[in-house]
Amino acid sequence: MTQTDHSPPPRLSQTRVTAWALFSGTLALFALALALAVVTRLPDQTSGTVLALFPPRASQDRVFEAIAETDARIIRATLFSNAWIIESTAPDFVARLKQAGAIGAWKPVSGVSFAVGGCGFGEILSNDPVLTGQGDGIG
Amino acid sequence: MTSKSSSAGTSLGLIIIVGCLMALISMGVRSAFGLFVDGAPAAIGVSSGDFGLALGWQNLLWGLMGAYAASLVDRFGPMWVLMAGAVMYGSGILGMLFLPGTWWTYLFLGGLTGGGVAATGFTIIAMTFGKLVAPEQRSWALGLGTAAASFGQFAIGVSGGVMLQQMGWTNAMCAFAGLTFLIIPLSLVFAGIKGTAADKAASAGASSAAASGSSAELWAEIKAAFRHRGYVLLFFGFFVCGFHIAFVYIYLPKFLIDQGVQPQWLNGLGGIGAVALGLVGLFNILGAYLAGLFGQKASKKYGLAFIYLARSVAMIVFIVLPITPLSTLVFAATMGLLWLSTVPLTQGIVAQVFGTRYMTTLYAIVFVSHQFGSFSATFLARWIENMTGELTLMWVAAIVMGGVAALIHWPIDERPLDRDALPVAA
Repeated sequence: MTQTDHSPPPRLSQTRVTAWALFSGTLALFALALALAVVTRLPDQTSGTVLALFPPRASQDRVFEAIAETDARIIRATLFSNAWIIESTAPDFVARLKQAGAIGAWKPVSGVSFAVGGCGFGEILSNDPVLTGQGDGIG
Repeated sequence: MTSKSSSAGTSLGLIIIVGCLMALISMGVRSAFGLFVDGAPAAIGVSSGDFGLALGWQNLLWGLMGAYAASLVDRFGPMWVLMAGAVMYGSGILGMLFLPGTWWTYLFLGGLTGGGVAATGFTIIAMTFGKLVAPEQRSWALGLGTAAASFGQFAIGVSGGVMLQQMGWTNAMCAFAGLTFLIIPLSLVFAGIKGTAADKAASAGASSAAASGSSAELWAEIKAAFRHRGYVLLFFGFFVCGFHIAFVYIYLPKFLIDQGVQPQWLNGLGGIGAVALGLVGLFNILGAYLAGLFGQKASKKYGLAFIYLARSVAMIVFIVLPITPLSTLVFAATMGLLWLSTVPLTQGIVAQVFGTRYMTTLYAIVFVSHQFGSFSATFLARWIENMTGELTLMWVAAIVMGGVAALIHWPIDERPLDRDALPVAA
């Protein structure tokens, strides 16, 4: 590869370029995740099993209170104390969750799959009961 | 062949950062396709087997067309190749959605998208970095490009699973197509980086330079490379890299289930198979970057020999000791560090021996061997499993090949090629 300008390439600050590359990549993925979250938020008139997200600093008591207000049943906890997988048959379940203080609700994410390397492909086998088809009951 | 930044005055640092984003997108989206295999019959009426085979073709085409795309980059510069690649990549995905059917899937996902992956992959981007920076920073730049691609494979791979569940098969594919089209505007940062064809134009009229930048010159360079023992050794050594990666990636989760290693406490994260591959992905980012830094300071061939030997040792320890959740996670982290760390060192040797003029093409040819290695591992593992009902022999094969690869890399002559000693090409 050549250029019309044949002067020697400048010496870069490796630390600075690496840090900026990492920052840009993280920012891009954060933007992707945010867009994804907005696009995939469940509508208010949704019932069934959902992943309910409460404000990050909501106390555990406040979260349980909110879940109780909606008459929902807790299915399981997640890695985060402000995100719970809960279930209700109420037709306006998500609307009620929001009224009770939840940021929003999404389809429960059942396990995660990783894809790595330069060449492999395939679905990761899992023994997660949710991943194997049980417990996804969006109404 | 020297270059540093586009004529538009874009700084070299910006080119590298944007290039990293492109590698992240390109390799990230490709790595997530495997998650769509199961849903293909319902979404586009194509059996999982056919969809998987289309992905197999995509992998193979990535290797084969990668060499052609690389030759175009060497001759005409990266911008148009990246743009064309992004168009092919996204159009292939959309074409598969708009014209569902087995043969269309082979054509679009296997063919068109395969070509797109080849033209936008980290091979093209990292090697472009390698040409732009000062020689003493080349290895670092190659490591950074590979690490960015690894980051994409990890992050978009995980996001892909979430997108699939939240948005559904078709919408998630559309979103992926949209992501790949982002490469088109990003490619503009590479405007002004010319290929060897620019040399030809610049030297038009000068009889002594008439062959400069021509395809004849490229072929002469390829022939010279295959006459160099080190290049041939590198070519065969990289086969082992593909072999190891495909085997561990595809068969480790199943192997763990066969061994009864399924701790309930990891179920919330998708099971130990998913967590182990996640660790491989995370440590891969670090390993690729560190390998780039290592190549800056020390002999790349010894680095490669160490990596292949260390893979073999890690596999021996893993299968000889009792297989537990802890040993699995330690093995995964170790393999992650050794995963794509071979790439910047292999690229670095190619650049060091043959110079930067046709380094993209020469590395892409070596990469074909890598892809054949991964293809071979898939078939051999399946055959061994069918014959013996388990994978122990496959582990033995992978261990032996690691040892052989370490030996193969040892005698590589890393010194720049003495072109005066070569016979003049006809």
